[in-house]
Amino acid sequence: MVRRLWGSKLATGALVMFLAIAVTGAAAPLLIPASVVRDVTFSAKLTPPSGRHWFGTDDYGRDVFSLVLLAAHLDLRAALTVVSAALAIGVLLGALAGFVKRLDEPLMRITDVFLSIPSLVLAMAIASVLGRSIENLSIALVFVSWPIYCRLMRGQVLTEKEKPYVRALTTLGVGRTRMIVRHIIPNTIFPAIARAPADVGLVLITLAALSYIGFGPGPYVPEWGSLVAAGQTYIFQAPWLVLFPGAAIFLTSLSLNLVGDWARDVFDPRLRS
Amino acid sequence: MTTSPVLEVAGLVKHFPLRSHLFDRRAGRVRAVDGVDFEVPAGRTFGLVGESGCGKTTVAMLLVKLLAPTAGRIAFEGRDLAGIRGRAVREFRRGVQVVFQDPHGSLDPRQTMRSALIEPLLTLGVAADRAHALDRAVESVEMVGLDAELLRRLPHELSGGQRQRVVIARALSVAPRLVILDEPTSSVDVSVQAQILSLLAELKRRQGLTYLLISHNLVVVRYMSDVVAVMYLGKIVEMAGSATLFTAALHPYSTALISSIPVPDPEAPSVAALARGDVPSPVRLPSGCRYHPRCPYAEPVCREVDPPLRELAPGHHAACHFPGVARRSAPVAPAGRTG
Amino acid sequence: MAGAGGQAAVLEVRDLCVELGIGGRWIRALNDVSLTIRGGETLGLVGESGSGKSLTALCIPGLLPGNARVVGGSIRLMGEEVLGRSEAELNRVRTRSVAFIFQNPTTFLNPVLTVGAQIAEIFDLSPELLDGTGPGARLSRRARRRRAWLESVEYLRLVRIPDPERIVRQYPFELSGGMQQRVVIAMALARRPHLVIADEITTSLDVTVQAQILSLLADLRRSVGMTLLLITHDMGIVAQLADRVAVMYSGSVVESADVRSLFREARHPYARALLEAVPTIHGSRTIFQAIPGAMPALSDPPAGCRFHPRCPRVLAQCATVRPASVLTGPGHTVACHLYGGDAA
Repeated sequence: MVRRLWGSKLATGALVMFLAIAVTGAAAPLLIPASVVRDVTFSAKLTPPSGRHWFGTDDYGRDVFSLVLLAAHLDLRAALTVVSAALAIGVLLGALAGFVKRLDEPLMRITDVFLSIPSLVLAMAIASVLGRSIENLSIALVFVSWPIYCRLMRGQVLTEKEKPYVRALTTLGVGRTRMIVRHIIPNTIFPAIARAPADVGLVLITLAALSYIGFGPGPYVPEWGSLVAAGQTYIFQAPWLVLFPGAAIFLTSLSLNLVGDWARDVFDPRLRS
Repeated sequence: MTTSPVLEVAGLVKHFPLRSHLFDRRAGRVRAVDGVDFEVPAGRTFGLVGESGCGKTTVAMLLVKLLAPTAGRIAFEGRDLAGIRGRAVREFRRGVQVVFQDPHGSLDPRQTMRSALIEPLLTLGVAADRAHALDRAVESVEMVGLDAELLRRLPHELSGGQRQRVVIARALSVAPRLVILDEPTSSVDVSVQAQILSLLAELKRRQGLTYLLISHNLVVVRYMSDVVAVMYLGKIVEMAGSATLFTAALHPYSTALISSIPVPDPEAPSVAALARGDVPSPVRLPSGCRYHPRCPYAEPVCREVDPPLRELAPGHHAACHFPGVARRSAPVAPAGRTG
Repeated sequence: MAGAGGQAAVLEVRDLCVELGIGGRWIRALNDVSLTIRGGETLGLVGESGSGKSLTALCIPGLLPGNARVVGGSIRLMGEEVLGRSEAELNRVRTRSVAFIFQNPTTFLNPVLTVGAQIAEIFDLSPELLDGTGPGARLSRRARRRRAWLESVEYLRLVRIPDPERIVRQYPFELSGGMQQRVVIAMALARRPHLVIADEITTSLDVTVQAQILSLLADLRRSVGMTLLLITHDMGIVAQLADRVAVMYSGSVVESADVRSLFREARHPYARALLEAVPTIHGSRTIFQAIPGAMPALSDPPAGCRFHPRCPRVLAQCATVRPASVLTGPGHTVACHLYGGDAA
């Protein structure tokens, strides 16, 4: 697999970039004290990037660089958690829907309901009920993301269970549970997994969008989207407020999409000889 | 030596319901298997032949309980298969195994051969634990002429012939008494086919197995079988000892089938296309005798009455109003090469 | 025999070498393949899977897959060299000179056009096929379409499709596999090609339907004087239809002869073994001989003669020197050291 990665310079570059961002994000809380968020120094407000403040300062006088890094930690952790949870739930429900005919109809109808509501609206609705913390937003986004994996998985499982080896294994005494867990899921999970990296990017953007329209966790929780939203007012005086967090969202999302594309191409079983 | 038959099938019927189709208002049924009776004596090879749509694969699926019959009775070693559950099913699966047509498809592409061979031994309770299972797996693999070193490979790392052998080893490792072979050589080359058939014959001898061989390849069936039944559109149209069928078939379809095989001898007269038209689908069955639209010898009675399967000579059954007519008349299609 | 011998060669393949790009390397897939087919003759190209027979056939109308390249040899169709031609010129070759019939008619036919429309398309592409009233006579568009429709019905009749006026209006999915294959054959014949290539065209059909198609091909050979390159793994089909046979193994032609000579006295050990591995239903033979081992993978072929590890009559030089094709009798060539193939 590593060799195949080298084959695509673009994917390698994208992966390296993402890893760099991720590592930075992971290290952020260790390097930067959380108190930066409350480090309000109005005298230093809106200073452009300089040796002291690499990304300048915002309207509260806080160091934008620290904010962006702290936000990286928060955003990435949230996005990765959301996608992992959605993947797990979607895969499990999808496998059940595909394999157990009686569960198929009800599960698909539930999936349809979730898919028919625009993701932002759904997330906003849940966030209004639960509250606007990052945790609650994450839960809302899990609700938004799981149906697609469920659908994907169900389609794969429906095809897979008709395959000759499933029939053969049934005659060899393999029961339903074992069949799903040991045989069907390992053979069908790749399209779902290949979709996940791109989905992380999507969740990131949705999170940013939610913050941008004001459903975010507020100015004391560093989040890329809310940083962009806050900086919007000063876009002509202090473009760095929008530029740096915006670039962070863009680069992270881009690198994840590229890696996701590559993963999908490489792991598509139909392309495998 | 009179032993009761290993397998008894009586009045076996399997219909698949069709949901009402855009082009066909009548929500019909696919009569895949429409009343089949036969017995497989212990230690023999019973061949089931027919073309696509005749129902032979459905029969195989019914016999290994992958499908439930719409009607009829299947008895293995005297015990009815209907409604058995739990432990009885596992016992049954130890007794009856199947080797399917596509060896590549019959193996989980992500499972090593080792894992693939050990798994059934554990799920069917043949081996007490993994260590025993592994020993037995090695034994089975060597029995089919493969090196135990192959066990660590994945299916795509083996050749077609090797895969077919592994699938056979897997089926035989649980020590079945009856093995159903569904097109065992259709996916392999001619040279490998001979190897597989010799292997199967050898294993049968050594382990005292009974085979039910399903194939569209008449030559293979002739080579391996003692008794042969010819199926057409869900029913058996002729059943006889192998030698008798291939030299003195009574049903025109059997004759057509046998004559259709191109003989690898340039001097032999060319193939006579004795059956007219296409192999029909089991959705819209012809009236009367199902073969009549294609039969060059059809008479009015054939359009009206479906002939029952009757024993016309000891051990020789045929379902035809005019059995033997194909041999009495000259072939209808032109034969012979020019030059 | 109709047309065999004495007529000009329709197809001449000389020392064709083709490589396939697999896993980053170029692997030799065809080695000095030579074939000749004369007008009205049927050549049976026989081999097991992996022998290279389909690849050889695909070279002729220039239908090689993207990862294949020709590295040597020549292919002359009606005396004209085909290799190295531009795509436009090859298109002309494909439309008029060579008709290729594939194994699976369902994937070949366009599912959204009626059968008649698909045959008529051929006349759209080559209106000269419709000219019945002499050169220079131009038909109006309506007349052309009417003509095309009539010709389509006639070609369907030629391939023994019952009730062709009705079938011509049907879609491929409404027809059975055997009927579809007949339609494909009709489309091939409508082009009035110099050469018809049939690649395993009955493999996906039931045996009774296969018998009908084979009988049809036998009659067409006579009535239309078809020149046919018949690719198959079935020795029975070869025995029935072919005038000459070429046996391929792992990328080379190991033996080629007229059909009777091959069946009576095959010389190459592989050809012999192949004939003996085919079980026959009518003969007294009930046992057939297996050939031990398997065809070598292209990526790692044995040195010298590729058959030598499985050969019952292997000699010392077989492991190092690849045998050249040698003429051992009228029209009978063998590539084997037993018959002096040392001029490699």
